[in-house]
Amino acid sequence: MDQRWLVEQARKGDHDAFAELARAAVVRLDRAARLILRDPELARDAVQDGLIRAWRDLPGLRDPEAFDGWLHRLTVNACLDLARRRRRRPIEVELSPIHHPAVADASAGVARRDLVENVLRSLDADGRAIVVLHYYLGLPLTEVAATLRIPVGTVKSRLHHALGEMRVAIATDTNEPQREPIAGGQLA
Amino acid sequence: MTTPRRFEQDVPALLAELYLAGTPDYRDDLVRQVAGTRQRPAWTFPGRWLPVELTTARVPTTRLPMRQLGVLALIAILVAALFAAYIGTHQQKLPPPFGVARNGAMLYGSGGDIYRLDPTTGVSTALVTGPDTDQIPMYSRDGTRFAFFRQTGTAPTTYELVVANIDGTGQRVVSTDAVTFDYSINWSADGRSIILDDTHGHVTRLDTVGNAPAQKITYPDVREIIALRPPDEGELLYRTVTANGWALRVMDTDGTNARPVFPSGGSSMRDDDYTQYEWSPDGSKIAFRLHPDASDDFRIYVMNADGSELHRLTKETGTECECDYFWSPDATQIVFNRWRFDESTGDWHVRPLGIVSVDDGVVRDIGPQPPEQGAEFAFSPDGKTITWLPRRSPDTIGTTKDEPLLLDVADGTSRTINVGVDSPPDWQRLAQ
Repeated sequence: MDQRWLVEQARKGDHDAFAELARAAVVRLDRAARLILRDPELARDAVQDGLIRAWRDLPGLRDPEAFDGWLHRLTVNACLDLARRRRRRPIEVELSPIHHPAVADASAGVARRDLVENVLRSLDADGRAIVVLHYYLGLPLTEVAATLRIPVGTVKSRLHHALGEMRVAIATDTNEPQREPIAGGQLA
Repeated sequence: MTTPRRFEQDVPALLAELYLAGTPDYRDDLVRQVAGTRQRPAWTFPGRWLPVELTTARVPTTRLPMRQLGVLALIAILVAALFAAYIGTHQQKLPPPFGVARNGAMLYGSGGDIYRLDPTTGVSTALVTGPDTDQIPMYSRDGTRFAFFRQTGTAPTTYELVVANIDGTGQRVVSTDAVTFDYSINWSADGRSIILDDTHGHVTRLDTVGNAPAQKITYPDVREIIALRPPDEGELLYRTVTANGWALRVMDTDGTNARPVFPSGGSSMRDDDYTQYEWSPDGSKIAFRLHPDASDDFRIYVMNADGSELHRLTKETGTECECDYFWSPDATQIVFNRWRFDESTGDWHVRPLGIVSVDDGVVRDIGPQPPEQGAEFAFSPDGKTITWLPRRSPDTIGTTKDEPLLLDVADGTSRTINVGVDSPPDWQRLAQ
């Protein structure tokens, strides 16, 4: 069914139409929220918050074509709100199990995913939101800036920083000498 | 060194692979939970009813008698010349940019043209005509010029900003980029520039007198909303994000001397929980709409410019939405749209405009019952009259014209101005 029509119906209060939109978006939103928050329960809260807010505020959306971007914005902002609320009492979040694809020779892929994982962990929630919006949700930098309500220059610098971290991680990973095994099976 | 470059290209796929779980197990619960939430009515969104689609239809007009118009134009030029000569021999006294002033003429847009209306006689005069679609005229604060939007090209929601003399002559485009209604657009207090504010920390000053290039200013800490403080516009009110959530601050227009005025929002405050900030015309107070999360109550709050003495403005009970408020020029009253929530039916019901004394918070109705979407309204410069127009649904903008009402603030009586307008008329300020 045409998404624009669904948005227009949902805007008029048709909950079934909104349910269809939500079902179509929830996987993408859940993954984005997990990448930003690093915690499945928090991600669930953020997606819930984003979708409830989307339903509640949908009559205020002027352009039905802008629904996807608007929903991303609500969810990402819900993520950042949750992250900010917890900033004062930092907790070591329990990372959800990573669901790696089942491939025969996955070692290189796993290593790179670990790099991404590590880099994401080293960023704060705002930095992760920028990476996720740009690289996962595919928003251009200008839309990332609009979504997060920060200047494009800030987005560029934060992204540059994140990629710099990745470069360092790659360089470290590539240049690190092979460590010799020692007695007892431990690494030096 | 090509490895990092390849890695960057792989990042999207790697991010996608980090979590390959299927449909979240909470999906259906969540959809059910959403069903239990009530939608906000469209009119509670400040930007929802801005006339973004105002230009879609230009009302066809009959062919004008050019010869007669030519004669009329000559007469008008003669009158203008005599008027100019008169003005030249009499020093013109200008009104202050804010506060109480004498009422002058009104400007309004109709059918893509701009007209001046004498509110006492009801006589209208066309000021800007022609094939272009021109609309939403705005007097400068000293009432000596006006600006208006001219639709550009075929894009229905992009415009250029044109400035003209009081009689419609001397038109010139002052905008350098396409302008949309996403901007907040105001004349500066001194009338020398028009300020475009994207409400996200980017301000552009357009020179309306000389040919200076547009001055673009970015305020890095501003996340949303900029309101320049009357009367000298030396400070601005803005919203930013802190570790504790949204906060309302004031700083000098050069970006220095930031200080909090409403820092107690706390982490539970969301971006649309307090909106619609308005300085009082004397710059001594700030009004804003507060909407605590998970509540249907939208109430006007007022505080001093330094954030002290924050209090709810009205004493109305029940669940209401107090929206779209407008300060009286003497800063003693506020008029606003309002809707009341009926708990038994789950419906919102529009009410007549409320007008409230800032000192005692007592509200009284003024004007007729508006349509469901509420009304457009503004105080006259002398504060004794309110212009009232039914707010149109976006579906009917450009196809429906309305006749404005003038509401007497003292006794609540009204009279109709018998002209059809596209948008609320703007009232000229004159020296007292």
